[in-house]
Amino acid sequence: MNTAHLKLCAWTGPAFVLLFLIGYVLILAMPPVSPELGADAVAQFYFDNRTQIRFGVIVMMLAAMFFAPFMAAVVVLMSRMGNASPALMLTFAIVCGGVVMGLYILLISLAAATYRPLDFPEITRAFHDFAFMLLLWPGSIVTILALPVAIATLADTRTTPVFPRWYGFFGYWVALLAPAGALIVFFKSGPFSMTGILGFWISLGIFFLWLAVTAALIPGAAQRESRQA
Amino acid sequence: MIQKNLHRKLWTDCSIWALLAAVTLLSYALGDVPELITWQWSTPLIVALSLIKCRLVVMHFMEVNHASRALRLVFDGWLVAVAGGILVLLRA
Amino acid sequence: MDGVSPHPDGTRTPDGYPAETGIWVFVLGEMCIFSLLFFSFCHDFAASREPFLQGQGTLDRALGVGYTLLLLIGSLCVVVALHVARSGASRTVPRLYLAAAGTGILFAALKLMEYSAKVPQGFTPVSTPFFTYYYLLTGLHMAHVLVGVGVLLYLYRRSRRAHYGASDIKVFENGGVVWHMVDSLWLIIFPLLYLIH
Repeated sequence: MNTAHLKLCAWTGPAFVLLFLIGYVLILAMPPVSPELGADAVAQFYFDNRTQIRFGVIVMMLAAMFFAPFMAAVVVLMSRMGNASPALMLTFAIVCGGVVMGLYILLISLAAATYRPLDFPEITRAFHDFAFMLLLWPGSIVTILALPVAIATLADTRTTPVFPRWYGFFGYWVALLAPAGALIVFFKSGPFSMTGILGFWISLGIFFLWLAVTAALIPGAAQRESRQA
Repeated sequence: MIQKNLHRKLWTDCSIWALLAAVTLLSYALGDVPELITWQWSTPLIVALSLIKCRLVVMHFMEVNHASRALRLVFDGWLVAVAGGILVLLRA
Repeated sequence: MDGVSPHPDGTRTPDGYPAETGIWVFVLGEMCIFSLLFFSFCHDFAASREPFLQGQGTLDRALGVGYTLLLLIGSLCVVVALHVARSGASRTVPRLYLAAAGTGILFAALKLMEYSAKVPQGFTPVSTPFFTYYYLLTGLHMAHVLVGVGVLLYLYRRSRRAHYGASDIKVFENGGVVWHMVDSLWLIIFPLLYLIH
């Protein structure tokens, strides 16, 4: 078995997280422009910051290519676990494919919002809404992303498991709270809207924390696996 | 010996439970009869009582008082932060 | 005191925790997220005191106390079950876990009845900011109660064995910690929604 490629894939995890974060900082969406504002204000925001946001979206688009190998490393590591479960690996892999698609659609939508923001402000705002809905709303996909790995991690009862056991409990926590962003469809402002503490900070924070923790763990895990192989 | 130990433990569990129930009823009285004391005082009191209840559950039922000092400090820090945060924000 | 006082029952993990390390990651993560929601609630409460007090006035405080006592009874069952289990397998243990799961189910049923009484009166999650918080905090908490009931039912099944090994006790400790967390979060949600002025 070729473990060099596994190690390579494992390092795309930190690369993805870092690059994606840089890109995200550039698009000035911490939190995103309030949906409460009129279409003109949102369009004006995209017009005023178009160059920076376009660069940010490009950085994120480049980061996105690392997502598939990052997740592939997780799948391979899952296959090396004690009590490895093909059903959980397959669930995880299917969901990852969906996340990759969602990620690109989200980025294209943001790119479209910056393309000619002032021509039709309502359309610009619709692209903005759509992009952040895609990012914050479908929390259940994060649940079903974190859950298979968490279950598999806790089933790995060997003395040196692939992932530490606390990572399994961490995954349960992520899975339980990730769908909280679902409420953003009801609100234009306040803590539950896409600019609020629950709608934005908690729901995106949990997803990102899961990605960051996973990315931090896999290079070491891949290293251990390659020594055993 | 084991039996005696167990009985002592169960006795502690039940007394802590009784304390928790009593404090719950007390804070209910404080909330329900605002004339009992002025509201400026009842709210901090209710918050403090509930955090004390929370600490009893964490320390005795979750057995954090038998865990390492680090974990105890984390939980105590959390309780103080929550109590402080709630009271400061309510006053604002 | 070196901070690592010996556990009375000698069932500590090598790293010094009752229950296992990972469960504390879960519990502390939950508590952090809930405390953010508590802060957000208090901030908005202070900003618009009158409407929040009005919303609070429509809640039944006695029912709130009932929920609290119900969860506390569940917690007592769980902690007694653990202490009994440590001194050897017994048929009391599964009964206690089943009773605790019963309190959780009753809690959820009462909550659903409260919701279904509130909604026809026009108090929905989007009617006022107070009710948004009310449904969010209690709903999120109820999701945790249901997960906790699942955990307790698992403990019930597991505790019907003839002998408890160290790994069984560890599972009982872990499950207990999850349930007590659900209880302790309610101990803060209850005064915030029902009692404070």
